[in-house]
Amino acid sequence: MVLGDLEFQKVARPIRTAPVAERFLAFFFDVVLFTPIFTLLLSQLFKKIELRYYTSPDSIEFLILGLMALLGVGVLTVLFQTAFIYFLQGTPGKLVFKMRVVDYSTGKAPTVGAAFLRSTLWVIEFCFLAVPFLEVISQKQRRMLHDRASDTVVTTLKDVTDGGPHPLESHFVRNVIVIFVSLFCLWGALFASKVYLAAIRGDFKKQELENDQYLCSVISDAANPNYTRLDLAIALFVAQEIPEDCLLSEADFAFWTNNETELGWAYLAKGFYFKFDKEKSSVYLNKVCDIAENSSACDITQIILGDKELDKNSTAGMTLTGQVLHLRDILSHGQYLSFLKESRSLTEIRGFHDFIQQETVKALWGSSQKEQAQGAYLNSIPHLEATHQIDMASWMCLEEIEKNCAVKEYASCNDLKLRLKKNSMTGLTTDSVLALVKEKDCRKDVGFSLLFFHEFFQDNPLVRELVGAISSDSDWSTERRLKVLRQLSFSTEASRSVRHRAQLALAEMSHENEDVKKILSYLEQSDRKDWFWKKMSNKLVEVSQKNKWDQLANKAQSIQSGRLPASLHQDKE
Amino acid sequence: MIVPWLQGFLSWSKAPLTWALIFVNLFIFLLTYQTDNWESARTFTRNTQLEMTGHLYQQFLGQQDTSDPKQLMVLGMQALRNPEFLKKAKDFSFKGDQVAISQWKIELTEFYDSLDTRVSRIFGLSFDQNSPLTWITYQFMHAGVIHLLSNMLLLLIFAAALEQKVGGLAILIVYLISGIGGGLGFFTLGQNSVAPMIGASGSLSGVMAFYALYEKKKRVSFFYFLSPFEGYFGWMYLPTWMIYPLCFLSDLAAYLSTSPELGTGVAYTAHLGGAAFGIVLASFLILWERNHGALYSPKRSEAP
Repeated sequence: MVLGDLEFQKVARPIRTAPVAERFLAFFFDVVLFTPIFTLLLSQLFKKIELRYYTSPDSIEFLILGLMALLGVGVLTVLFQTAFIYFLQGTPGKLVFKMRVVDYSTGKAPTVGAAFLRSTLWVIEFCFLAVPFLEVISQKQRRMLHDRASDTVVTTLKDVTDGGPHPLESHFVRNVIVIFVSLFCLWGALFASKVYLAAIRGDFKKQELENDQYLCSVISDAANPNYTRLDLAIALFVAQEIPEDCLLSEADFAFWTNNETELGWAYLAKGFYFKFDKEKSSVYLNKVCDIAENSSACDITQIILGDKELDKNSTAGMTLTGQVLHLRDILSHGQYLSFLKESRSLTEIRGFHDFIQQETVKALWGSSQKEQAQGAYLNSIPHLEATHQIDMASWMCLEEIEKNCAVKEYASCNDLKLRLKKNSMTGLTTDSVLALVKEKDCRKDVGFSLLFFHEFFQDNPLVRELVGAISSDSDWSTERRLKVLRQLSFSTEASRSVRHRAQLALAEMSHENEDVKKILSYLEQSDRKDWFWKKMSNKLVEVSQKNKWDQLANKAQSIQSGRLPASLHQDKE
Repeated sequence: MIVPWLQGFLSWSKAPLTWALIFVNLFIFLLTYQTDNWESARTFTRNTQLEMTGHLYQQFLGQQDTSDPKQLMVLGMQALRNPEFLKKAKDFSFKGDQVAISQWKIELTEFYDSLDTRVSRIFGLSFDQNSPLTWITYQFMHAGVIHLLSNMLLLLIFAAALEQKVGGLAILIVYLISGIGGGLGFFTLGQNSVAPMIGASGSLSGVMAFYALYEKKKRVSFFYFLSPFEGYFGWMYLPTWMIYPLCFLSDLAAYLSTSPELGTGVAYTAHLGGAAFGIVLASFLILWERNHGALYSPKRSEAP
């Protein structure tokens, strides 16, 4: 046996050992009988535990209540068992099946000490998933550890005899107990090391902080006494520094705490949150001025709805949201130098770092200051958030490759590959995939195979189509590529990035002036004249001149010079 | 495996009314069964909707205790069971996101109106909606297959054994009156809720309690099977009075240990009410038989 027999004297008189099956039935009977009694006695505790289980199962309170319940059941079991064994020589189950617990040496009723020891050890053995109870099958006189320790035995009053265990039963039970104890020790060691490592890493503290957060930690970190919390949240959302869930939770918090000063902003925030549901968004935006007339939130709403112009020197213009909207506006009109000048005030406010850094790089690139852009990229990339690093590296890599494929390697492309590998290829975006595909097309010996993007393509079928059309690795015919590019270039389902890349590729690949005409028409109607617009219009001039389509070339040049605001001419100079 | 095994329950001729009750229950179940997962309920029991409902319920109660999403969901579930809240919420002036609140009120009205089309609300027993007929009809309706089968199995075991002693009419009276007792227990001890009560559990508890008292000197046989080896299967006999602690004590314990905020899918109060009426009826019959002799004599089969 795992533990040697504890009996210190052999007893001469015969013992009618109770059969195993009846002991099991008696145990079952006791469980069924005592469960409702214990539940009744501990009902208030169980009520609290049930509520905590649904509301806060990870809380310390739930753990403590659970431990208290276990302790309570354990104590009650010991008390009840001790009382029944001492006074009646058996629990109700044993009594029903005509069994008695007697002193092994004398055959008389056990003492109170023996009864208590037996009951306590019984509970402890039960805590080990009742595996030690298996000894009843293998031990000669069916005495488990608690029986041997308290020098008791369970006998039957019936005229039956228990034949004792079969040798195979003993062998089986011994092995089961050895395996169980070994596994238990192994599990204990693993669990202890896991807890230790988690504590060292600070996981418990992080979990606690995350659990307690009803608001966004990003907003709390960036909070500024000069601006309201929701103004900051909306501005960060427009600058793509926070996810939409963050904005929603901030807005809802303002609603439920009935913060009068922020109600207008809260409706505006929800207007932004539902930006892809035009109907819902307009309901919220229309509510802003109803709730908060003559407020900055109302002014911003009117600007968004096109009822007012944004004046950067007005009260609305000086809010954070106003400032970010103004910066986005001048960027979309290609006013890069103005952006570089006016964005300095926002760099002093926490939370906008990544936005300013990324847009600065793009602004420098867009205003033909390529070397400065590369320098700004190298300076800023280590300090950006991980997802922004991938976005920035993707953009830079794509632009540099498209500008000049012949350069041996670009730091941005190496950065991109490094960061993707670090993230185990998660965080892929359209631009990062296109950048890597383009790099592989340029330099055949490096880069990722299209197979790496298999999962991404499954979620983004239009990107897969675009890659198929532009990649030299794909085995598509020219006709098929052109057909796909024509579809994607003007598709309302495709993202802006996919449309633009498709238009660029179509302009390069197509030998038909109808395609260039359509793209020109698209550019003419576009009200966003950002760096991509400029790039595209330059490409159309180049392609038209190369194919000697003089009329188209002239038109491309005229939309470049005629339709642009004056400030863009200043940028070019 | 341990299975109660009372005599005669498999025989149609010995317990015709019991079998009739079972078939009526089955028939009504097949006619009236509706899933709990109808569209309006699905909308309203989404996590986000429950949180919102929880927020509004706090305002309705004049409390402002928590912003914790899980606690709000629990409050939300509580709110959806409160008939007063469901009636008054659509006209209550709540503070917060008025756009979302007006949409919520529309969905709440749809939800509340859809409740009245549910068969369980029409024929079940609920605090805000019950007629004299529903005190009887609720006893024959069930929420699902498992609910029906478990009730009918126990009804078969106990009612069949009892029917041979007291006759079919007595069984029917015990069934119906215990069911009414179950309803009284539900209204007296239960929480005010729109959730209707259905099921034969109250009636069944009365039948079981009646049996346990009327046949208290008998022993119930159980067949047990632990393993195919000798000594590990066979019959055991337990006194009938043990049904009380095994069944009704559990119901009492479950009732006391269930949190009222969460509610429960089991109407323990109906079990307790039904059992109480079953005991009263059994006591009455025992006293009557002491003075007047056996109420019922089963027909003896004629010798060929």
